[in-house]
Amino acid sequence: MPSKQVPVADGRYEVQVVEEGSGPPLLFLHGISGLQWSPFLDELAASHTVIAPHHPGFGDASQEELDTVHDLVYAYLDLVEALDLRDVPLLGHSLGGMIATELAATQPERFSSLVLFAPMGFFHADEPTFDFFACTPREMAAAFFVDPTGAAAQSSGEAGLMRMVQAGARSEEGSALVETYVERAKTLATAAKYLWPLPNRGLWKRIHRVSSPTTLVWGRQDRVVPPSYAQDFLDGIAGARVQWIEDASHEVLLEQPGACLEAVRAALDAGAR
Amino acid sequence: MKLEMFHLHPYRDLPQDFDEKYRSVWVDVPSHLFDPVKAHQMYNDTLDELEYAASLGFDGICVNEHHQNAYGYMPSPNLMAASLARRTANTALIVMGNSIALYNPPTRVAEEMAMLDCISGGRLVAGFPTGTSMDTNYAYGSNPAQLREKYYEASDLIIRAWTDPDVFAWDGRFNQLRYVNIWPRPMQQPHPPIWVPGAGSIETWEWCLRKEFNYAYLSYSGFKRGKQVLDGFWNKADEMGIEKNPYQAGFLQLVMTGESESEVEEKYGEHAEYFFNKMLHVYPGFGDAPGYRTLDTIRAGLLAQTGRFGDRPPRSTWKDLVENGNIVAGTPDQVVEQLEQVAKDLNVGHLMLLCQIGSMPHDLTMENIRLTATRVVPNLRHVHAEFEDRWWPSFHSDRIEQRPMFQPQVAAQQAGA
Repeated sequence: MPSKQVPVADGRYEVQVVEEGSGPPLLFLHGISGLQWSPFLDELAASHTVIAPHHPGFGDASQEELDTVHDLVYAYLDLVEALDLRDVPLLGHSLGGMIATELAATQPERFSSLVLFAPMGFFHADEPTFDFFACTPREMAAAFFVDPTGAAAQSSGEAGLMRMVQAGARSEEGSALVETYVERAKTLATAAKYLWPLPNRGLWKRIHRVSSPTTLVWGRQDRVVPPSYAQDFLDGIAGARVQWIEDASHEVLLEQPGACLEAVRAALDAGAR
Repeated sequence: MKLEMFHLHPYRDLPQDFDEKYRSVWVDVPSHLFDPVKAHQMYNDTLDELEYAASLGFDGICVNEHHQNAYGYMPSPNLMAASLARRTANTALIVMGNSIALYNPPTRVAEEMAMLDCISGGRLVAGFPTGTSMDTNYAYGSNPAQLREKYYEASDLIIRAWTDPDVFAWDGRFNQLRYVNIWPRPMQQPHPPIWVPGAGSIETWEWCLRKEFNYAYLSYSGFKRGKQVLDGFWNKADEMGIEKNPYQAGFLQLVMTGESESEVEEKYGEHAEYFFNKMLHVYPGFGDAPGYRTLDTIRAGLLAQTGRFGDRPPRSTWKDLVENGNIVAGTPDQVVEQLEQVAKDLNVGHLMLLCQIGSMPHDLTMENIRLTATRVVPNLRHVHAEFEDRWWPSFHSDRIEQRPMFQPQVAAQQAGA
């Protein structure tokens, strides 16, 4: 996917942004598995200009100064200023859903609607989120997908890693996959910066400030952020509603792109303010 | 060269089927397996063993830091070192913790190490590990994506706290202190020698060489793997135009000495196999938190990967362990010969000998220490004699008054108690 570097933080570092499609702009924030150009985003790009940044924070110049979610929120405020995005729909998945909620709480007037796919941001010790920072690749696939051997799982970075493992890093296929794995390590390390050791960064103190019309989209079988966590968002955001997706775990966008698209279209049609 | 005895202080009494019943010896090792009455015995055995090694002529004794770990349960090496400081003399106290990024503020480490240096009379070696992912990220919750930067800042702050005679303010990224002014200050000037335990990451080599710290490769993989890592370190030294002084490097080696070859296998075999096959049983999900390693180190590691990724290594027999160099074992003469070869091949001036592992009982450990200290250590001192060891404590025997050790029972008797 073509991408561009957008300077933020008074030019001290840049954010890599993928921009694809045509139509009114829409901001998409990816989850802990990284920005994967999936059929969901492809379809979305048919009606919208999808603007999708890679979260900064690890393995580049931003590492020097991005320490907290607060720092990241300000980096993204710089980004939306730089791209002159106003009254724009904001979508976020997983970690991206948490960041999207933080952004909407900081500048409620900037985002016309909020669509959150299985967002992180809360933690309940009696029903903890899956510890994706302490698991084997196989256990990760089993938690993130309802069917870890199905087509959706095979198209994800996880399967690439498994292929690299099987082929051996020195083989032709393996060495090509090494860079994929390094990129994935970078994404997970970035996620760790904002989620380690568990995904509570005090969103509960700020979530009430969100005033954009909000739709939650959640896999009914989410084994990473359990469906019960939707209640935190329903309680925190006035007027928020939830759309349950059948046969989906945490990678709901890869697992059920059609149902997710429908949910987004309904949210955008109904929610424009 | 210098020879030091290293102790991990393992829980010697885990069940034989530990690796089948539980997923990890580290981080989430079940607490119901821990018996404080046994631990009382084991802590005192460990201190006895290190004190014995010091009395028999080892140049130094080493303790280290692990958290939530059953094969090494010395979460505070400083407590062990404080006890050892009172019961030893003329032996270096090599404290291979503290994981300096974990302590907030890191001036706590500067203070405690200065205390140890004063109590011991300038015998401290200050170990500055980054700490494993299991210890720092999983057990202590430290953010892996920032650990290395935190570590660098802590190192700078501690050294400044030891050496700056004035009160100063520290406005760091991870620490803000308006008044830094530690009491006590270390006896060794400008500060105790700093050793960095490493596990082979590229950045640590350069860091040690640039800062003139000792680099100590600590692993149980033995000297064959050790050779690759130390070669990497010395190649970096060449690249940076730095003299390859063997005393700037240390290496950990498991050693088992006996009177005859057959006796060695008979006495140590089961304990060696238990340690490697059962005790190093760490859940792979705890191995490497995202962000713990830099992207460069990850890339280098993937390209060097030959076997299957994430698979457990095959079970090892005593014979495998000896052949692969995990363990140096044999009669005193055989051990001398092998260790001399290791010291020369790896160009290391400090060999840290692990004389106790896993289930090895106290009596056998004492025997291993006795044979190694009396019949191995003296025959290796000549190696690397042409180099100056600038990474050794200064001991300050000229500055401290030597007097007989205070004996409280005798004093109490004299007082008529």
